[in-house]
Amino acid sequence: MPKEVPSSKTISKCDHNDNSKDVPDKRYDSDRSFKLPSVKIQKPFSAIPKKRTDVIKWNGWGYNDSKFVVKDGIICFTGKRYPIGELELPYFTEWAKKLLNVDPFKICLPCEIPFDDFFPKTIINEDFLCEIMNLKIEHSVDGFERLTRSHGQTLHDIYSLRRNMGSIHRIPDIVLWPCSHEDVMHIIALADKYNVVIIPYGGGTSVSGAVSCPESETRTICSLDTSQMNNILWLDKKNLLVCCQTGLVGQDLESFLQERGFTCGHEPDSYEFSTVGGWVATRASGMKKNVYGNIEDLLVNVKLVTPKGVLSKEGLYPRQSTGPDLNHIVLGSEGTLGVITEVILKIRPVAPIKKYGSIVFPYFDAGVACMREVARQRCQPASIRLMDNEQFQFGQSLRPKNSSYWSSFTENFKKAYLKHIKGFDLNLICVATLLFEGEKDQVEQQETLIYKIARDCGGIPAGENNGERGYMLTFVIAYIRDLGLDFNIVAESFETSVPWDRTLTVCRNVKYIVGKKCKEFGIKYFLISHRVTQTYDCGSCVYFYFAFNWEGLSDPVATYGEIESAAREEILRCGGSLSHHHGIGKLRARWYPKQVSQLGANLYSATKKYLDPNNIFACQNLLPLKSNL
Amino acid sequence: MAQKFRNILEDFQKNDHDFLWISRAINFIKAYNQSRPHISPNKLKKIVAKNSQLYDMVKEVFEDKGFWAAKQQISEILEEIGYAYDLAVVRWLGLFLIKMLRKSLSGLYINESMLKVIASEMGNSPVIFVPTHRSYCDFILMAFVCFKYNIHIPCVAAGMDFLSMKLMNKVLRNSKAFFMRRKFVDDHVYRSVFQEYIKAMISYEESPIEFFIEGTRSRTGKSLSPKFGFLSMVVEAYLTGDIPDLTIVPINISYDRILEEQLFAYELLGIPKPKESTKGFFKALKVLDENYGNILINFGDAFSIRSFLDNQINFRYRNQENETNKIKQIAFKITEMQQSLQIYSCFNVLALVLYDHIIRTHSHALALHEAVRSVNELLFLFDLFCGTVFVEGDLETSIKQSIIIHGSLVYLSSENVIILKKPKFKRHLNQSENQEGCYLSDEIIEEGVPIVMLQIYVNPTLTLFIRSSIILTVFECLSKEIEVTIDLLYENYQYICDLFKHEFVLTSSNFQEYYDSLLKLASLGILELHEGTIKIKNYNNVYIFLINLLKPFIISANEFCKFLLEEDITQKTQLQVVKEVQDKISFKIISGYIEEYYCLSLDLLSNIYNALSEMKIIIRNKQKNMLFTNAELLNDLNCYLCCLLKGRKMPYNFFKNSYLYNSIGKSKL
Ligand SMILES: Cc1cc2nc3c(=O)[nH]c(=O)nc-3n(C[C@H](O)[C@H](O)[C@H](O)COP(=O)(O)OP(=O)(O)OC[C@H]3O[C@@H](n4cnc5c(N)ncnc54)[C@H](O)[C@@H]3O)c2cc1C
Repeated sequence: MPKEVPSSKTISKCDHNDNSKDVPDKRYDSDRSFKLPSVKIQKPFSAIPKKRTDVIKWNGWGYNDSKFVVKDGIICFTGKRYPIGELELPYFTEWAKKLLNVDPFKICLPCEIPFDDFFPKTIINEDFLCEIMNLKIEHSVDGFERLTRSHGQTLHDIYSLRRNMGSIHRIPDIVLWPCSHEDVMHIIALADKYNVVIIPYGGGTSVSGAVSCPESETRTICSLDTSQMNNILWLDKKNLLVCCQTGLVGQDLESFLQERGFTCGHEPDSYEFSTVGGWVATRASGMKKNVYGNIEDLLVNVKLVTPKGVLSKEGLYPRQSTGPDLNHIVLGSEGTLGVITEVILKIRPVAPIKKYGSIVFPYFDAGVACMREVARQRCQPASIRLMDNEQFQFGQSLRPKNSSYWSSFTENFKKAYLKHIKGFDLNLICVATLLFEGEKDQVEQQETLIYKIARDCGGIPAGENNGERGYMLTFVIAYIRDLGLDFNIVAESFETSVPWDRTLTVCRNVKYIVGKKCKEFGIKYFLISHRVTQTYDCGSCVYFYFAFNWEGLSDPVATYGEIESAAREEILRCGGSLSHHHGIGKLRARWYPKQVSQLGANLYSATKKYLDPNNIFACQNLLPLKSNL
Repeated sequence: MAQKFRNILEDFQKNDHDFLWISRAINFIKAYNQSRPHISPNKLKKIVAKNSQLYDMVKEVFEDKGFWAAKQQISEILEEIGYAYDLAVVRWLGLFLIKMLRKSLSGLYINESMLKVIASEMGNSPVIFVPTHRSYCDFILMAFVCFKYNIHIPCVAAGMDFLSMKLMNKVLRNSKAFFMRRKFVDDHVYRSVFQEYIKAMISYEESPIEFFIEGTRSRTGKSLSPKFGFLSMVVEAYLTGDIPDLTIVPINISYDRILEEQLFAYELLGIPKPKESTKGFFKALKVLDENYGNILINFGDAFSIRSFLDNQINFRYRNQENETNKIKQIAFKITEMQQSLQIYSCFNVLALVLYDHIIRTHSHALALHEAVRSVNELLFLFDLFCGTVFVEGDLETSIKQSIIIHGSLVYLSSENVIILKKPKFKRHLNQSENQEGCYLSDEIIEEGVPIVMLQIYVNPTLTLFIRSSIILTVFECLSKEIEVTIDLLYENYQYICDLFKHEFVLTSSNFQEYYDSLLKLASLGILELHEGTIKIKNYNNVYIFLINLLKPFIISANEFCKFLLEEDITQKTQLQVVKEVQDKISFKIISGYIEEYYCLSLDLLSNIYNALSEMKIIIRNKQKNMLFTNAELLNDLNCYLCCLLKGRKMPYNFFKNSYLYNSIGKSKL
């Protein structure tokens, strides 16, 4: 979470009837096109340049200047972007030693940026490339540019880049940077004509193997990088809508809107780097969905460029009964049907009050009972998340020495609730973090209600500070894996959505199965932890973190894969879904037909055949390869 | 083998350390340690009482009486069921026990290394101890052993008979016994409450949980057919996702001498036992002044229900039939494991020798040196049949020692002859009341009791030999000269296995076991296997020994059939039928037609009854509440058994009798 995000104080309350012209013009007629020719297009500030690796890592997560490092045996976090930056983290070091048997002096440095002759040879369809050049669409066949668009953020991806470069065989042959819907239409027509494969590439934060190239593909593979399609096309304050190109990165969209007193409110943990197009293509879910909705709730209209033409609905209707909603063919299509070029999303005025909170529960089940009750009464704040004890302890360790803001949870807690602390076992307790957004009295009301429910379930409010830290850490946690890989630790997360009555079963059984599997593989040091990150009327979203020390294993990624598969089988067996928001990609394709029924899979397959008869969107997401069945 | 076991009484040699030991600070190992704080027994009851689902389940029963009446009854039932825990009681019990054990046992042996492995792997899923049930001591010993190894003492399912014992029920309850009514399938409210209680206990409890799969103490020394009720409740908690797995630990507790041996012998003959009472219990303690030899507790390999069920059960789409089948399989697996964990004592072998001697010679006396020789021979047979006999040191000394231990049954005369003792029998005045068996004369009781007691020590060994015994018995009348094919013999073998399915808990009459037995017999030189046919080679001593083992069982079955052929049973109950068959047998014993007193065993007769109903020879018409027999099948069986007994060759096409025909048809499917 960049520090620059405007705080609530600096934002003036927006005027709903504002007709000012500092933003691209609002529309007077309900013309069905996305873009009025007369409107001046605005290019918002772009946090990530065209040459991505100038700012973000080529072989890991996030900004180049932000990372965990070990100095004199103590883990530190670099850079000033995040609040824990430039601080020593002695407790975290201890935690890593104890739990994962990390030796901070035994570092194994990652691979260097490879030389030019390392990159796999390109397969170039010359005619296609020639026509692209005629169209003056920017492109590159540079090895490094191609490599950085060959992967997402799965463990497999990052492990290969850092430790096993030799395993990288197939990367895109050409990178293309279209600037507009029209560019994309040209590219797709040409690709179809010359039988060239297109893989849309947004922020590259995919965690399902969705953007990687199928090894067996012998045609030219183009990575269609949407990063230059990052314009805001218009902002409609009356209807509270924004229209933008899909390469727009989440944080850029958000700063643009916030400067004008609005917010989209869609905040996946990856929103610093993931793109609007990526969100739609994967059916992303944001932390604050309780107030703003998930991407499918936000999406009003969308353009999908397919080899057969452009799929798009008419108008700006709030809801329609016009047959099946075709937006839903685009949502979750994971780059297999076409390129999403422009979208219209709902926006909201920025909430005047933003307040954090936290609740401590004596044990996890009590916390889940509270979440369930909150959902039953439909009084969720913008976000409510419940961490288990492992994550609580881990979060505790991520604090610098001697800092009052960072003083330990227990200290804060003790200060406030000395009288109640009895009966709470620090090895069992778990913590829910809360984020409220809204008008002052609204927030107050919500607080009262939620803390009452919490008390009924055995919980005690544990202060704003703890809540705020919890959310802040979310963004930092993603950086830890890179460090881990230098110390023989692999780590990854996986998630599911599950009905309320199966939530605890899923949590418990997955922990059990992972423990059992680790034992089978002779893994001595591991961490399996879960948190409930979203609540719905009929269920929750559960998010798992799993890390282990791979000492003694020859292929840690394969072992990881086997364990995650076992966990997934268990999730499905217990009544959890294949994915709440990460998507199917290639990683989970083998379970897809079972989840949607064979008929469902065939229906999708027929759609795909119709829209893309030559299979130029050949990233092979969703449907399992025959060979894997 | 013996070094696997450790005598834990060795740790308690010094009296004055006892108190220190029981009062030591203990950090108990938790069997299941989920991320939840510990829950007190009272809290557990409250959780169940508060369960709204439970209330929904029972509310129809309370239609008009309403919510409070239901609450009231639920909480009363919970009070009756629920265990309590008082560490002080457990400590005092420990002190008392250690003194008792030191006095009355030579050794309490444990396969300690296995127990340590089990304990070290505890923590992730509920652990269920499933010991054999031969004596009331089973409870107490298990608690003692857990206490000794710093494992939380188990919550154990106890029968209601203890509830009537005043002080005892408190002690038991406070050492985590919970109480379970017998046969409560039809009591909807009780069943629902009990089920919910068990489910809650399984998911909240951090101690191991213990139950007896046999449902009750086996009076015969043999395994009883496993019961599925409690097991299925436990497995249900896994299937509904309340727990991630279940670890099952089959355990065999082998006694040199069973505390209740005499009581059991009387019970088997149908002479009523005194009701359990605390006074009776203390009286029984006097019995403890005698020496009871060794007790061996053999912990089996723990297995996980999850692994056992693998992916064959779907949590979301439950399939009743499939689950019931699986639970049966688990139950039989446990019984099978318990059986193979059995450790035989010297006296088991000696009992076999005496049994064989009595059948062959009708004499109740056997010279010591002959006994030693025969025991020695038999040890070889035990080896071949993979039975472990726990003998320490010199054989003759051990045998003498075991004769002393079993002074209630045998003694060594001054001429070094082993003699079977007759009991001093005093008939209670009110004996005819609530008597389960028929009236037996004093002579029969005096002759019968020692034979039945002896059989109690023979019985455990039958698990090893019974398959071979059935094979030879069947073979004898199939053909004495000509060869018989393996398949034909197998069909006939299965027929008899079905008949004694309950008697010997023949968990699987599958071909592999049958074939293994054939190979063993071949290696003994009794059989010859040649291209799918079998021939008897040698009618040696072992052959006769094996044939003799089955004799009383066949006789009983045969008498049962004859009874059914002669009598009209339409208006009778199972108990009446069994009682009348017993009466008939006792009459034949008096008149000298039958010599085997064990045929009188009510347990044996009811097992036959149950088998006959499963074979559809006895049919109960539920609507009319009447019993019928299938005349054709009954006739077939009767002829068959007659032939077996007389060793007469059967008419060839006889084996194609209608039951066999059906069951073969089935097995081919
Ligand atoms: C640390 C971390 C935290 C995350 N947190 C969240 C979270 O909180 N919520 C959540 O939902 N997800 C989360 N994700 C997953 C990921 O960020 C989302 O799936 C995101 O929507 C992907 O966007 P992207 O722009 O990076 O897409 P990419 O990774 O580039 O692509 C993802 C898929 O979408 C396709 N695609 C991308 N753009 C287009 C387009 N314009 N047209 C057609 N297809 C396209 C690609 O071909 C590919 O199949 C997280 C990932 C990481 C690494």
